[in-house]
Amino acid sequence: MSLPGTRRVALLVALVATLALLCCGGGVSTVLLGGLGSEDNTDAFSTLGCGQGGPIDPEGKLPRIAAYGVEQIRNAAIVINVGSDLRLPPRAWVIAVATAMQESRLTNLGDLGAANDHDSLGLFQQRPSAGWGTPAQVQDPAYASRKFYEKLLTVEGWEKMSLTQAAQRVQRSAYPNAYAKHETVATQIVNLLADGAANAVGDSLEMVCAAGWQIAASGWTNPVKSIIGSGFRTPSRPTHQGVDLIVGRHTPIRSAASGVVSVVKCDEDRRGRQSCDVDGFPGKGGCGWMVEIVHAGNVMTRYCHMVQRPSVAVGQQVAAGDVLGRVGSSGNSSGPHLHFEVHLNNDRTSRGAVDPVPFMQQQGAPLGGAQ
Amino acid sequence: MTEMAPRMLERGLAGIFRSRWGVATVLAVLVLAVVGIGRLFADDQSGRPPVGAGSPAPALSVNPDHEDSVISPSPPPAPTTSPGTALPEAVAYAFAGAWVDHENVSAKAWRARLVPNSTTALSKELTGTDPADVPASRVRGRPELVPIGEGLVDAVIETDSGRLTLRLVAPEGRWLVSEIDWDGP
Repeated sequence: MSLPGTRRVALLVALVATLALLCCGGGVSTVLLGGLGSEDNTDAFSTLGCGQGGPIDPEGKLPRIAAYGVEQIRNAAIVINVGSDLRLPPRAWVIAVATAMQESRLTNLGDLGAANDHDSLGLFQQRPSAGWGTPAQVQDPAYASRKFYEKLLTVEGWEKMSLTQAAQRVQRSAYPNAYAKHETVATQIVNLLADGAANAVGDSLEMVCAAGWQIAASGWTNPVKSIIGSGFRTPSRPTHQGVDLIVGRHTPIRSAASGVVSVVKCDEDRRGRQSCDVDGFPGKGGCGWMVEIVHAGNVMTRYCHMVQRPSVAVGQQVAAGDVLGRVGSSGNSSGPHLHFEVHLNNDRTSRGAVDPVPFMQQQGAPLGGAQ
Repeated sequence: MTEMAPRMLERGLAGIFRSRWGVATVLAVLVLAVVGIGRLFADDQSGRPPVGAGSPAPALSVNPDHEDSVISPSPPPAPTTSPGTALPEAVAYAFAGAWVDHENVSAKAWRARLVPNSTTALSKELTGTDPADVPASRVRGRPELVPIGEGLVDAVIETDSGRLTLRLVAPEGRWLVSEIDWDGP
């Protein structure tokens, strides 16, 4: 070998580097990208905190969010910053972002000509003729956001309403329930742009993580303070489609989020009997006295083994934290507990079920809390 | 000194790679290092509940041998209607017809036509709505019913400019519209 010394060193170093990349390139890049929080990894942002870091600067570097461009995300950051500057709690930010998503897809809309809805303009489609401001003003994202928040504050009890109800009181739309479908993504956007602020207590300026009965800015809350028992689809119970929350008999069970009650029943046992007013036993089969609720974003939650007939009725609208019934041991159960399920895509079969523990964690309303 | 360093590095590396044991050791160290670092980072990102969120599963299984969920989640039954009251399809169709009929009508008159088929809560939500905000003018076709629960059904209605979705409830045996959603073109 007649290579000069430095080139041989370079060759050897290159050889080591190549070997390292070939053998463990995936691991290296995962560690590097994961550690730096890549732009595509939106989850890395959302779990960072409960908003203590404050909203990010709309003029700074912005994360990318699927289906939304840089300008739209900048508008969302402005909406959030205005809410923060006005000293409004983070639930208001989620409501405002979801409203702008429905009204304008977070785009500062000008006059759309024949397609325009009367004189509606800007992020919130506010109408100058209805007294929202001049055309120039309502097309200023910061002005439009401030007007939205000012109107929201005049709605009594907006903090406790479902997102779509609160938005509707401000917007007066002809399709009042259209805001609900944006709640999930609006929550993710607020988490991403404001250091996990949707995980914080929704109606507080303290920016502390929601715990106990507190309702997170996402609109979700813990159904019972409990010890987490048997988990979702464990090796010993691969078809266990929910999580068992161990908690004393008669403890009130609360709705995990706002929604509409879709099922209230005494679930049949294996022999087709409906006997839920007595304690069940392992092997009896069935959910006992149960409630199912459909939420925004086609999410369903299910609550089983209540001690007596639930206190809600099918078709009833419930808010997060409303009491649905009380803990018991009816159906296939050997002791008082709440069997809690979460289903996506309005799919009430086992195909739609997801692990409630990480799901509730992502909503800023972690299960457990009784240790 | 500046010339010594690369010289020594070269000798060291060449020495290692001359022996197959040396190469094997380098590879083993690399694998261990990467797995170790990976583990370290993975722990941070596995979505572990934060402090106070409850440690997972202290094996307090209530009934490990049997399932305690719904045995067979049957599809929601077809909506039933009390005798003498309107079918949900008819209620949805009438409501949709009145909803799209929004031109040359006062807000008061528009809402008054919706009230007979609305829940009280929905009527209240429409207070202050300008019928000019209705984006459709004509209903196209009959409502398609999607049962959600017993006594809870969605009705999907195509219009000339998008899809109207009405949610119907039957709180006292009579079907009423409780929610309105809209998907534009």
